[in-house]
Amino acid sequence: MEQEQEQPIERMLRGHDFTEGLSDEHVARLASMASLQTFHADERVLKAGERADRCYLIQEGQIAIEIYHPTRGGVPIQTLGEGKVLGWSWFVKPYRWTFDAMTYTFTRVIVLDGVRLREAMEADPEFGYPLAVRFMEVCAERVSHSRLQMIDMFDPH
Amino acid sequence: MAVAYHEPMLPLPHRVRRMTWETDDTFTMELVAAGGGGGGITSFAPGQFNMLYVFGVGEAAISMSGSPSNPDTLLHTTRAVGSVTKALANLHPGQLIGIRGPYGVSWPVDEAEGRDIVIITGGIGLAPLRPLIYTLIEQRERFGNITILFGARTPDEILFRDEIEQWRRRFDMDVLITVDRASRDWRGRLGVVTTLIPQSPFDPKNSIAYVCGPEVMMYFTLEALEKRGMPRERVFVSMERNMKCGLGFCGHCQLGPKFVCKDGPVFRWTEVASLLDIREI
Repeated sequence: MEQEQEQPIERMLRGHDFTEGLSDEHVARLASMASLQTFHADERVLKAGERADRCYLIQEGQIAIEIYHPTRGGVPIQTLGEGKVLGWSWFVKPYRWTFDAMTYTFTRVIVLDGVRLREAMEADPEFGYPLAVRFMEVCAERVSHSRLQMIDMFDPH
Repeated sequence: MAVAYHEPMLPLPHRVRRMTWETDDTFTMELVAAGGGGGGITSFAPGQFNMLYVFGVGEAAISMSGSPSNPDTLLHTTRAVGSVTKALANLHPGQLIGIRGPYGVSWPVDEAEGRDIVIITGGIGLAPLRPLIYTLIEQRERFGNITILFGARTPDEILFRDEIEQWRRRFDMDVLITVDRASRDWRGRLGVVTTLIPQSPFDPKNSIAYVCGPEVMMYFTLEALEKRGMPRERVFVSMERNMKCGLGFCGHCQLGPKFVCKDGPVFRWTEVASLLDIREI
C-alpha cells in the first residue's frame, strides 16, 4: 500500500513547539482542523469581547496582547513570538476573547478551529487530555510571567 | 612611615575623569589613579568589585563595568539609590574618591571553553557582566554560540544601549532584549526576561550560563534554565548583599556559611540555591 503523503500543514504543526511529544495520529487530527494565515504588521488579530472560536500557533512574527484603556488606548501587556500559542478563550466559557491582540510585524500562524477542537477534545479524552494539559501549561506560563511583571522586579525602591 | 599601597583597608585615591549618565538614575564613572601612572588598581577579573569611598560620606561595593584589558581606566556603573551612590552621582570630573579592591570571585571564563554561553541579565545586572562580555568577545574563538538575554523595566531603562546595538550587529553572537512594560511605540519584545530562554540558540547539554539581576529574576531564570535542560552546576550567579569590608571580616554580607564579598559575589548556583531565603543581615 502506498504511504499517504504528509500534508504541508501537518508538517508545519509537527515543527511547532506546541505539538512536541504529541502522537502522529493526534497531530494529523489537529491538522484536519487547521489552516494557515498571515498578517501584516499592525493588524488586529483578536478583539476583547468578540466570540473566541480559534487558537493561533505562531510560526513567525510578533503579536502583542493588549488591554484597552479608555484614555491610553491599547496598552501592550506581553508579546508572543515564534513557537508560542495565542488564545485559549475558545476553551473556556463564555468563549469570548478577554484581551486584544495586534501584530507588531509580519506574522505567520497556524489557526486551529476552536469549536471543532473543543468538541473533539470533549468527545475523545485520549485526544483531549494531552491537549488540555498543553493549554493549561500555556495558561500557567502566561500567569507566571504576568506575576513577575507585576512585582516590577527591576524597580530599585 | 610609608604605607604599602596594597594595605587592604586603605583606599587609594582616584580621580573622576568622566561621568556618563546611562539612564535617568544610572551612571558610569570613569576613574584613574590620582597620581597618574601607577599607584592604582593594576588588574581585575570580570565580575570583581571595588569598594568606592566618597570621603566624608561612606563606602559602597560596586562592580567593575569596563574591560579587564584596560585596568588603568576603571569603569563603575551604578544606580543612584543610596546615600553613597547618590554622593557618587554628584561628583564631577577632577574630584577625588578612594578605592579599595579589586575584591571577590570572578566569572569563570576557562570553564566556558568549547561550550555555548548564555548570559541572562536584567536592569543594572548587565554592568557586572559587561567585563565578561568584553573578555568573551576578545577570545571569541574559544567558545561556541554566545547568547545574551537582557531584560529591562522599560525601553528608557535599557543600559548601554549603543553598545548593545553594536553587539546585536555582530554575526557571532545573539542578543535578545525584552522589556517589562512599554507603550505601543516600543516594537521589540514585551515580557519578562525568562520568556526569552525557551527558544534561545544554546545547547543546554553543552552550555554554561552566567546570570546577574535581582534575586527574584535569578530564581525564575534558574527554573526556566532547568526546564530547558541546563544542569545547575553549570549556572553561575552574581549575588548582592550589603558588603562593608570586602574581606570577609565584618560579616555584613554573610549568606549562610558564605561571605558574599570573599566567597562571591560570583557563585556556582549549586552553592547558593538553598541560601536564597536567607535575608540580609
